[in-house]
Amino acid sequence: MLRMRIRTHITATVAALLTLFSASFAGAQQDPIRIGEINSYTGPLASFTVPYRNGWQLAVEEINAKGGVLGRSLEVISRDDGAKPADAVKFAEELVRREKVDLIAGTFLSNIGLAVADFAARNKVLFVASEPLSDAIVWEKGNDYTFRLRPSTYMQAAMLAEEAAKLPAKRWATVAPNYEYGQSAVRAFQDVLKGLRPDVEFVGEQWPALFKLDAGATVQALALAKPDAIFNVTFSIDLAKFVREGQLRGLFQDRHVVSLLTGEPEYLDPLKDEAPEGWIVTGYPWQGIEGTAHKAFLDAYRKRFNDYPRAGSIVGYNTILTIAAMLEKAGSTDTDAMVAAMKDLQLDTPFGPITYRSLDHQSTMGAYVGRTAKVDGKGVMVDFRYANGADYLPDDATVRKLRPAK
Amino acid sequence: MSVLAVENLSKAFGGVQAVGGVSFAVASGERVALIGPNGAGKTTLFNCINGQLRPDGGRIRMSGQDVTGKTPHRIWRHGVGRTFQITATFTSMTVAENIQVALASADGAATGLGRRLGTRYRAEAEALIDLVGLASRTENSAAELPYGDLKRLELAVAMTNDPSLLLMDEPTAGMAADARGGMMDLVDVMVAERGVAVLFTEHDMDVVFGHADRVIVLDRGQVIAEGTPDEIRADARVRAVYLGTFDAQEAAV
Amino acid sequence: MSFIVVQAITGLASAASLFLIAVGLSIVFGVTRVVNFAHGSLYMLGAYLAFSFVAAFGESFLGYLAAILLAAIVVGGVGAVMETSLLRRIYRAPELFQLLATFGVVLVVQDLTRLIWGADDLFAPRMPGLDGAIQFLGHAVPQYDLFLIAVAFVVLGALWLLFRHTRFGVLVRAATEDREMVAALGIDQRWLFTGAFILGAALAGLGGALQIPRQAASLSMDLNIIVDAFVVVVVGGMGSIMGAFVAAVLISELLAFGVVIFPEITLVLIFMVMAVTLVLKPSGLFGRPEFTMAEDRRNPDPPLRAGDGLSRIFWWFLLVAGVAAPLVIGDFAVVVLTEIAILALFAASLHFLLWGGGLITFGHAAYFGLGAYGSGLAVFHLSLGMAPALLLAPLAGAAGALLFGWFCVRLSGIYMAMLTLAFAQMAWSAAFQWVGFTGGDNGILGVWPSAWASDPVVFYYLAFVVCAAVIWGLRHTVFSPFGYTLRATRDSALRAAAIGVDVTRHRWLAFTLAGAAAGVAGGFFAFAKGSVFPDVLFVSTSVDGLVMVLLGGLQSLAGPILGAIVFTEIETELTRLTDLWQLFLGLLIIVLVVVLPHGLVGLSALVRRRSS
Repeated sequence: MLRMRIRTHITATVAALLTLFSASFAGAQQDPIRIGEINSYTGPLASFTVPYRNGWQLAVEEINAKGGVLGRSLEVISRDDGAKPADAVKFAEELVRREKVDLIAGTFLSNIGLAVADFAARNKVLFVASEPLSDAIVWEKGNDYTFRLRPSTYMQAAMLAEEAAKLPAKRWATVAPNYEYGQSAVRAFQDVLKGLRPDVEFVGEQWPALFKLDAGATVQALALAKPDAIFNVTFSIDLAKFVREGQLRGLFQDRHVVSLLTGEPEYLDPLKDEAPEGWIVTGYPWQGIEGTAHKAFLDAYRKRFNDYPRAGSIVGYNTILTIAAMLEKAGSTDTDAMVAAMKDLQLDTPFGPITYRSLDHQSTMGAYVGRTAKVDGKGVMVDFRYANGADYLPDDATVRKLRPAK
Repeated sequence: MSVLAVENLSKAFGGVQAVGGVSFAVASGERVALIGPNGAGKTTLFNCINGQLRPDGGRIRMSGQDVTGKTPHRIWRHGVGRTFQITATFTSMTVAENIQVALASADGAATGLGRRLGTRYRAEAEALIDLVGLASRTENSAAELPYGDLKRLELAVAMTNDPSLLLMDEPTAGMAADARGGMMDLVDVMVAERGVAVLFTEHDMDVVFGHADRVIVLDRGQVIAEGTPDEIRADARVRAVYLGTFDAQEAAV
Repeated sequence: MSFIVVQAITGLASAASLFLIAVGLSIVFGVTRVVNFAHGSLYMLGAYLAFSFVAAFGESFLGYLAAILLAAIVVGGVGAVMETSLLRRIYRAPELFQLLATFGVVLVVQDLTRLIWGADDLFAPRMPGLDGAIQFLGHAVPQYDLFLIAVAFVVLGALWLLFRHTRFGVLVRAATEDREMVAALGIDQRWLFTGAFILGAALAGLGGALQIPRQAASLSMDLNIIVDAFVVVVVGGMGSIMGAFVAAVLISELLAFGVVIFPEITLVLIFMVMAVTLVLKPSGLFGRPEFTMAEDRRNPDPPLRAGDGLSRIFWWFLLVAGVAAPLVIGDFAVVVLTEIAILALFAASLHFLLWGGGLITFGHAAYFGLGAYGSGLAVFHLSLGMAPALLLAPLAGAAGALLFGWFCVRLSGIYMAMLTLAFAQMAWSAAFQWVGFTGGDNGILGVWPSAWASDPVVFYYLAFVVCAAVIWGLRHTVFSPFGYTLRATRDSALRAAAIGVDVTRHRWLAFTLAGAAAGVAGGFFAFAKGSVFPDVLFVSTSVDGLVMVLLGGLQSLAGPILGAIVFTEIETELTRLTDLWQLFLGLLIIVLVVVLPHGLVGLSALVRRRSS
């Protein structure tokens, strides 16, 4: 049984490689445009990155079926970094020096995104950072060659802070994994919320080690602070523990909870019928998004993969759309031309039009903000709205201060 | 001045007094055997002298200096060579290297990062190897030596710091009966040529009576008799608590 | 007040989970003397199996209970397979090989679990009948927490009965106390070992299965729990059941109250408990001191020969190849070659401790990582250039080794391995969580070579020359009086002390020296990658180093170099070709330990002997 699965797996990999090859040869007369792609496809992160890979594969297939870009087909050469930044840099070297790719894209973990971004600046290669959230990628550590697609930690925290400010709650507690992402998210949320509501105070904070949340103790400690509302940044297995323990111990009773990313299917779906109700979250309510662009994407995705898309899928899809639009605008694969084309690049995505800001290289792709609810024993987002990323960035002067001038 | 002076030494484990107020001395160039039935406290006493155990009370002096409670490597600096009941050698090294390491240590060069050890102390090492009769084994690995040769190697290693006292825990244990004499003859050579004193424990009474100048008998942590081999053979108390078992002991070994 | 009581109960529930996983590890160690890294994998497997069984028949309380017990039994069966097929072959191998082989199992189980259950976290329903909370002193206490505490006491009691009143239990206890005696009694040890391992595995499975009402089954469960379990077992004393219980309670309560007082440093807190315990009581709270041999005759190494023809040819070939390679190979190959040169030094410094000193370290990444951070922080905080930053790297590595080594060299064998691991994890936690100083997970960027060395070929030559020089220095040290004396302490600490060697101090110096060498490698690694991230300090970096040493062959000075070359090539190519590279790497490690314990160098010696 197992052996068969492995064999199937290997066969599938080989088949996929062959398809890629033949597609790239059949698709266009000229050599394909080569996109180097790096992400963490093995280990625990696979549940996030595989839907993402599906997303970009779908986009590549669609674009090549229409004849490619600039008369050339797109070819993605993908590498698994095993969640290690050092290996990601090694494969970036390989893609650029051996595979001679025209640009790099991808990455999920913030540290890997930053490492590759730094590599890109050093080697003067365009890098489209698709998934990493860290604000540093476009601000403190921003560079000329790196552009980021997904709405950042700051943007998503700001979207939630806006909603939080509408709540009557004055006493807030926070719980976030103790590393850069958690710390940035809490800081951004506190800053924006205090800006909107000077009367709130933060009465307690919990910093569990990532993936080692001691749920019972943490929930008790949070309750001890007697907050009116809680801002949560934990995710994945920590979130599951936190939700279950918090519900059991009544932590969420009569309290507002505002929670980062929890509306993304990646995080919400594993909770199944215990998905919390009434939390204010950012996420991707794929079931309910109106508009033909998203509908077309959704149908194509379901048809191709026999599965529904996750938040990562749309990011993967938009990554390739970005690259295709950029190439059309640049008219060549010359790096300077491509970098110039990325600035103020506008394109249509299943989420609507987005722009890559020339100011800080951040795209204005947004996220959906809504409340969690249970429908048919599953967590979904309701009462959601699309929060346009452009509206949740600091003013230009602040951004200029955050992003070191060249 | 005596090479070793043990004064009122005591050591207990839990409630058991393994050594209780033992005093004796070893003079320069003297061969002293420490005997006693199993559990008499020989090993404990030995381990206190060489620093593996810290005594509860009493003093140990070497050439007049107080060494009570010092660790084994410091005891060695006071001129004490040591062999073990079960041999302890460096199995990844040749016979020569075993001795060269010890010579480097004696020279205070154990932490030296300079010239390769293989080229240093070579002549001294070969002299010692000759002395113990291992010349044909110089380049053999210690791991492949027969047991008797390992005992000889240990003796050579113990002699590297030109000790004034050799502590030998059962020097002939595990050896065939006919080889024991040869081993002890070698010890006698060390005493004669280098003027070293020897304190040893031994079960084989032929060895004890044939190679000791003086015998100390221990029983239940106390010295019950001390004297020349002849005196010990004649001592009534020793006979009472111990000698009755001599035959059995010899048969067992 | 009521908060304290309720928090103590919460801590006790965590302690129950921790005890169940740690006690199996402790029993297995007690009997077989193997520290089973894969114990966490068995725990993870228990959780996944329980998830599937619960999905099939877990709708009622009894069904759920049956699912949990069945998962434990199946994991016991997996343990039986693992013991008879792998562990049985390595009982006589050095501790290091055992640790590595079981780490290989971790990698294999990780990938197989992903193949079978997928990568998504699996959240099981709560246990029917125990899905609520009771009100106690004005707080809600989950019923399941109380159930867990009860289970822990039941298991503790059952183990007590088993070990006091059954023949199997008495034999297990006897084997834990004195292995030779059991052998002398003429008991078939094989079945005793298998039995003990099945028991340990089943307990791990039970521990994992019991977690699913509290947390999702996920692929990160194995490594997340195993380090904690190590800490509990080491603090409690290896092989002691009561020790595991007391240590689990101690640590869990400390954490439960720790999150209230110092929410930021809980991770470091655990390791500090361990370090303090081991310094005060080196064999743990309830442990017995390990028996040390007068001399290690298990696997005597052949004496070192300075330069027989073949090895001289090998070294010259490496040197010439290293110098000439950039002239003939492509750009990326130069980048890979740079990494190989750096990792070869890392492996050589590890080999120096492992082989040269018999010092089993499972946390060598600490010194590599400190070197990398030393350089990185110098660039980041002090704006130093490449050359001075690189000079700081060995100092940082040596300083870390000086500090950690002071504790570690006081222990030996498996305790030392555990403590080195704990220190490395502590360093990792600090780098990961102390964002203000280290940049945390976002690391330190912009650690690029100075302009004159920015060309990959120039940087390669720089790295090659320095790394080769340090490797040569380490090699020379092995032949120097220091190196011989160090090897003497390995062969027989007793004899070394008897010839006036201060064994502890000598080992400490060796630790520091190796730390400095690893630091050099770390410094170059930082500049080669342009960045430093906490994962250079993580256990996987230590394991990579160990695999390189083992792959090349532990008993040869050329081994680590060869190992670094082959390992880097395999890793680079394997990760490109397949998603299952962890599986292959795991299998490679297992095969190495079982079939090729002398590594590639040993293989070539074998071929040479056959052909002559």
